[in-house]
Amino acid sequence: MQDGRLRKTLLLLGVLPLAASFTNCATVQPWQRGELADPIMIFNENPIEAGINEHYLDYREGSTGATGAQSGGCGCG
Amino acid sequence: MKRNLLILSALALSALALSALALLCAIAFAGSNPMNTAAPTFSGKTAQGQIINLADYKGKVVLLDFWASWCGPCREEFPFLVKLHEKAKRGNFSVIAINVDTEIEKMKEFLSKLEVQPSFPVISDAQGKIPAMFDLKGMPTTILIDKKGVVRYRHTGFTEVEKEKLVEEVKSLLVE
Repeated sequence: MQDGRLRKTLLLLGVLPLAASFTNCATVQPWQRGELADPIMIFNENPIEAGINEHYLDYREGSTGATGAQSGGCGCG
Repeated sequence: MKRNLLILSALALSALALSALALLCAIAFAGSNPMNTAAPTFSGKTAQGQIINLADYKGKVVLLDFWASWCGPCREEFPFLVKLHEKAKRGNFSVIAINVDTEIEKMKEFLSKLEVQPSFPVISDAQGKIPAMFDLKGMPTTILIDKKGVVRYRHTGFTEVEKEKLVEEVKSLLVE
């Protein structure tokens, strides 16, 4: 019984790092952010309207933030 | 039974060791170009087909500017660099601009709209090979290389404050 559990744990220990190494995560480098910096990637097309919406949401919900990062996409903002 | 457990233990340990090794390799081989070390040598091609080698600029203070047409601060910095180059080019100073737009047409379009055309070389590096050598953290990145080919100053991003700093740094490197 205990052997079985140990075997499962060891198998999991072996499989998890292997699975993690197959994920192939890649970092988007600053010079590769052309597509991300495209104006089409901006959720709020009208910044004034977005600001007003954010303002009344702050009051209505009594909370603020989590509305996205202020950046042009090139990692310099 | 015990043998199976031993094999499984070995497998688990080796997988963990491999992951740790992969992580260490990733950290060790991540491009890095610390200050006060020799700038990596590179060559690149301009839109006109001219080959530019950094090695040919030894004895000159070189300002490397990594920019793209899609980056707002880069667009602000470029006309300033044109002016800076015009002022200081007689004193052993040169700007080398490296454009990282994936479409060269976008670079040409941006340059064609400038009031004053740059008299320094503008390399087109669509594959991003040169910025990878210098381990860029953001755009634009401005790197100052002294007459001996050593990286001395590095700026990420561009604001009004950067203008004065860059002028002072160029001046200090020119008198060395």
